[in-house]
Amino acid sequence: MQDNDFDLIKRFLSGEEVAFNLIVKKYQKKIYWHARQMMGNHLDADEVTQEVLVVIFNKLKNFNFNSSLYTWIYKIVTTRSLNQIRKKQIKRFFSIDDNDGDELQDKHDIVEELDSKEKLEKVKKVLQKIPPKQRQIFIMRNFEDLSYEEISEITGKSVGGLKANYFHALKKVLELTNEKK
Amino acid sequence: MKKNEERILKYISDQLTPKEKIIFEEELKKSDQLKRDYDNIKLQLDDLSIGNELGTNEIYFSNLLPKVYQKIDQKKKFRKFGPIYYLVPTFSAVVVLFLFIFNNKTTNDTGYKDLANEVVNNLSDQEVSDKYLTELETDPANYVSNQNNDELSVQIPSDLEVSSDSYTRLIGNPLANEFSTLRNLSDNDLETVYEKLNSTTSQKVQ
Repeated sequence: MQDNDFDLIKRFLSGEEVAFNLIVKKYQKKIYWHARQMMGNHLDADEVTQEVLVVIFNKLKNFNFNSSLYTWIYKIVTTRSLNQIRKKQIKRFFSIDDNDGDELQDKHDIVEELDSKEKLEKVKKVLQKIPPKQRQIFIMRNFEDLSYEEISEITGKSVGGLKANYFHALKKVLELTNEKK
Repeated sequence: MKKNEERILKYISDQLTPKEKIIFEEELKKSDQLKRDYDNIKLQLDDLSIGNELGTNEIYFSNLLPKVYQKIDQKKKFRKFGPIYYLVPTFSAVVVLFLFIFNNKTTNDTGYKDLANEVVNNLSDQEVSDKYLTELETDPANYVSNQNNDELSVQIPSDLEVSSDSYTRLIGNPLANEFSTLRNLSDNDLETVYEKLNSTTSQKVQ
């Protein structure tokens, strides 16, 4: 996979724009779903996804081939998602952003099946109540099956710290699911 | 459950030492309670897991790339004309700063505002006061509108050219009380008022 990715990057750097299209096709869903779980709604996830893809296009020329493309992209997604959450919190603090855009979200949501919607809603209700950094590790461990070492490379945090963070995330998630029962 | 929960979560999050891990796994085989609690927690976590089975609208992903290229083009254009975007506000800021410094300098050097107030406060000629000031004090909104209609010369000295800066302050204070309009006029305007009044009245001003 890595060789293939490196090949795509080299093709892109030599001016073959179609290589970027292939990178997008390969990673767009992973990017979107990470952002979606972090943000809890489609519109913000869409904004983050587009922003991340633009950053990839502009920064790919600086790619140093020391890490995998997957890790590199993940670094961008996680940073942008956390930034977007911070922006939203600031807006909410100054009451610029209303938090009841549910109708708008429904209209644009890409999840169409009722079962999927219900499941997503259930997960959202729990995830949006845990701190963003715990949410991030919970998503990476539970939904994306990343190892602590991979997460450490992406976030720059120590494996020990990540384990402790994941422990607290699990504890909080269980507390919330038990509350609902 | 609470006691087991802590250990189970430590096991799941890989926080147990290798020795603790072996003990835990041994106990898991023997203790029904621990096994039940462990399964229960796993079930709750699995219930929250989302795989790739979610039914999504694929059109969104097909349309993503064109949207991204559109954004990239917009950014390229911004970069191309970037200097203009930065120069305009910078130039405006310099002009505002220049005006600010210039106006402050005038105030410090001349003190016309104080002199004008002194003239007004010592004014004995009621006719002059009425003629030149009443219109400004009682109805500044009308005063401004008359200025726009070229009728200003009838009401105030013809050589008094009120600056746009003063108009802004007049509009901002339509309920001006006695002489407050004077405080709203710029120093240059006040200078003209002062000279006019000074030449008309016989009052001496230090």
